Amino acid sequence: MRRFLAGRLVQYAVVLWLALTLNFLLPRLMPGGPAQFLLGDEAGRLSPELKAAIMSELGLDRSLGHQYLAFLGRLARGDLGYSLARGEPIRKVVADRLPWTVLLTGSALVVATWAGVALGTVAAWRRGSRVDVGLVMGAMLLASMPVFWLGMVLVATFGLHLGWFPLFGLRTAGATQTGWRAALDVARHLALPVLTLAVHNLFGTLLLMRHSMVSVLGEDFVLLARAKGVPARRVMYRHAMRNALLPVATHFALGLGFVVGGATVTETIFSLPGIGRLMYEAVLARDYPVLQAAFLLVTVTVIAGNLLADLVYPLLDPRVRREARA
Amino acid sequence: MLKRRRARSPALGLVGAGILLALGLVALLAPWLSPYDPHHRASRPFLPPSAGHPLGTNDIGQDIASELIHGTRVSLLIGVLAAAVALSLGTLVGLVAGYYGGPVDVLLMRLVDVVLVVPFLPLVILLAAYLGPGMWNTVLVIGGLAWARPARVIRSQVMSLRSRCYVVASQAMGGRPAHVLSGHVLPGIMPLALAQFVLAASHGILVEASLSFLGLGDPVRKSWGSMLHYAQLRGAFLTGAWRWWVLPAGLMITLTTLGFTLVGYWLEERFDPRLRGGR
Amino acid sequence: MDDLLVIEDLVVAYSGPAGEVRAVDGVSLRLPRGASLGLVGESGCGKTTLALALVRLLPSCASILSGRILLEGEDLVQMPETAMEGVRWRRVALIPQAAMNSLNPVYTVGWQIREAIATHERVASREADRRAAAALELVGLDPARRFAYPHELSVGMRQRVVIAMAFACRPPLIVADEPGSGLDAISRAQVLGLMQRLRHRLGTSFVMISHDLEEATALGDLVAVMYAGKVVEVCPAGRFPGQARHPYSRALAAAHPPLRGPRQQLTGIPGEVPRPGSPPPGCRFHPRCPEAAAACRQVGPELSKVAPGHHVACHLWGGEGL
Repeated sequence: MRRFLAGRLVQYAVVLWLALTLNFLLPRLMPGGPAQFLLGDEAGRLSPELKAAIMSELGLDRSLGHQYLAFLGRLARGDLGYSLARGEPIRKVVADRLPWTVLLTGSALVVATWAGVALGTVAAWRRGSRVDVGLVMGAMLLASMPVFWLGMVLVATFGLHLGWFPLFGLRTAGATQTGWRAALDVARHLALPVLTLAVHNLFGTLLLMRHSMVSVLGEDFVLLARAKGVPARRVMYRHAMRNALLPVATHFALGLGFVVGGATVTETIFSLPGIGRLMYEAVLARDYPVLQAAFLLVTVTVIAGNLLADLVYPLLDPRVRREARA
Repeated sequence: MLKRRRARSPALGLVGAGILLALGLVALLAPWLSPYDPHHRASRPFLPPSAGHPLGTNDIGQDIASELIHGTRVSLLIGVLAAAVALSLGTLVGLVAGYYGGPVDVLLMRLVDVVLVVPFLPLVILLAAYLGPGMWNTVLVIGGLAWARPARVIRSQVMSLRSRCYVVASQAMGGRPAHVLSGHVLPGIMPLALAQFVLAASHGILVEASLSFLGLGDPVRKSWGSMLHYAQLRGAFLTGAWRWWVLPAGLMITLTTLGFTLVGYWLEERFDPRLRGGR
Repeated sequence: MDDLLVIEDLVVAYSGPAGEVRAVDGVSLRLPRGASLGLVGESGCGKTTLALALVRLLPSCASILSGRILLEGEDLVQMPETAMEGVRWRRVALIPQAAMNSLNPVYTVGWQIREAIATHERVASREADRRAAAALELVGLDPARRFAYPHELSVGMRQRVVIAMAFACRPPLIVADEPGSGLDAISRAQVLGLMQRLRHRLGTSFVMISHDLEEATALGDLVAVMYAGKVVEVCPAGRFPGQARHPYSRALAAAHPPLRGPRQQLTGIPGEVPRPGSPPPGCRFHPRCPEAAAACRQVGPELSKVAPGHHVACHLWGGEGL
């Protein structure tokens, strides 16, 4: 188990290093060079002298190795760079937006996992029946829809035609409520985006839970529990589900890793001020530094999610737990 | 005694194959099927559906129905090409890792693990933004990042084939690795590779749609994703126009992805030894 | 007469794509209180199906078509499922096949024994824990083992845990499906000896199912031989296999080496068990029977008495036919 974790840590370190190095190299490999990277479309309009002055100011005339070390040093201090397009330090931009993304995707993950576990259990319990086929096919159909389109259709239906939910944004325009009224306003705005993301992510959890449950229900311990006279419902929840949830828990922890990066297009549709929408705006404005910072942030959270999955699993499965102690 | 019957039938696979066949025909016959050239202004912009324009016109007066029909070509082509790139890389890595085993296998599988951890869509967006829009860039970016899963599946199949009699016999008779691989191992993994290809294509089409939707698609070739990009820029889904501008393109993407997924799962279930027979 | 278990003309069928398959086809057995029965037969003759039918835990594709299972005079076949849950373990416990692998991996052994007790009796948790410890002591395990997870115990220990669990509610009847298989020779002997001792100490009745003659007769007052879904011979354990009459019983005995006594030539049984979907007409054993006569091919023999407590379904010994 220790060896396993050590191997994983090495793997994550490699991923992190690759992401960092990619971030360092990409702007320097661009046709326009790093000036283009930093200044975006402004670069073409600057005089060569001014450009050279900026390059020297930023240390871009030094050797690559020197630049690389400086790059890593800045990141170690938590300095993500500066966005000329926004006129703000990127760290501030990201910090403003991160909570909203976490709120959105975190809620969606919880909803999707809960629904996937419930529906997957039903499908497994009645495997081969119409209910089972219907649930699997339905979830497959939903997963085949592009998430941004799903969002647009939900907005058009529940927002535009039925008027149940606001169309976009995080708060009603001109709203001045505070406290729980404000929270309610935000919740109403987040309902459709959360639904969109949750519906899109339902398929994976449902299928995993169904598969896991079907194989657990065939295990001998289910028969023994029934033979003990334990009621069917309790066998289902205390014996079968407790075992079938193990892979789902891992899936959930991995999903936490996508909390930051998983909502690019959804946030775009609903005009929510999160990291995803930030990436979209950065693409449109060719604001490369922001794009890179967002990518780095997403990579770090994905690694954190993976690490969490590795650490959580032994807590849930006594077979792995004891090995870990040994 | 307790062996379960298989729940899924080939009927769903056939439905998927039917969908793909129909879409393939639409793509082939696009110039004859579409009423207008999708790149030319046919009428005034923002027209609702009429006899002349069954799905109305877009923000610059192009016929949406024609865009949709021609979009089939672009979306299918990019999805299939990206899947081809992913599968070629994946097969190569899987073959080499599974056949040679040992440190080569360990190294390549570590690489696969690394690629699987990297956040897919954000990296695709980052690379596409740097490389600039263009069909081939899209294909390479998607294909270049989506090879890890097929590689893993194919590797395990190669490992099981490697120990079979005819492969061992061929090695024992002094067959060179290239010969053994192409003559004896490759035919054994073809069905599985096909299943992986189809699944990769369904994924590829969705990713292409997302990229184009974010404005990172090929500006010259119109895919369904780029249609939705413009529809979103003009806020079409906040007006009644979503029914003819937004709905059809998304339905086409859904249908295509579903077709590929159905065929892929069906093939995988038929040919993946791990899914056959056992639990 | 005080019969603990009476099975009357029980028919259990699996419904498959090829239609209905009768795995247990008209079985009748009688077990007096306190007595034990060994049930022998080759794999696929319906022993396990019979065991699962006794506690009504057949897989969903199988069902009891007809017959009665009277436990202390009460018909289990007609019993509603909720009442059946009260019967299981408290009045008849099943030690399933491969019992050592049927413990839940995520709960401690003690938890699983306590669950069995708490399902049937209202006991304080401390009392349940004390009884779980006592149950483990009963089978010769350290009571501290109740804090262990199944994977931390050896195969033989896990088997004993399930036996301890089976005795936890002191049921009058325990059905054990091949309790010795999957164990090494020493653990197997330990487990069988343990069951013998506990049976004598607590007076529990056993239905011991096995393809192994030694195991089936280890506890037995009675031995029943099953072939292709039917009981072909029932006799007192003392008469088996020495005075067994049915050609199949004798063939089974000839295929097993006796542990004591002179060496002898082993003989296998030619052919194989007929597929349950298409049993041969007449006596089901006739295609493999060295003594088959014309009548055996047409008329299925009924059980008939050949000695006190000894019944055989064979034309060679019965009144009819020949």
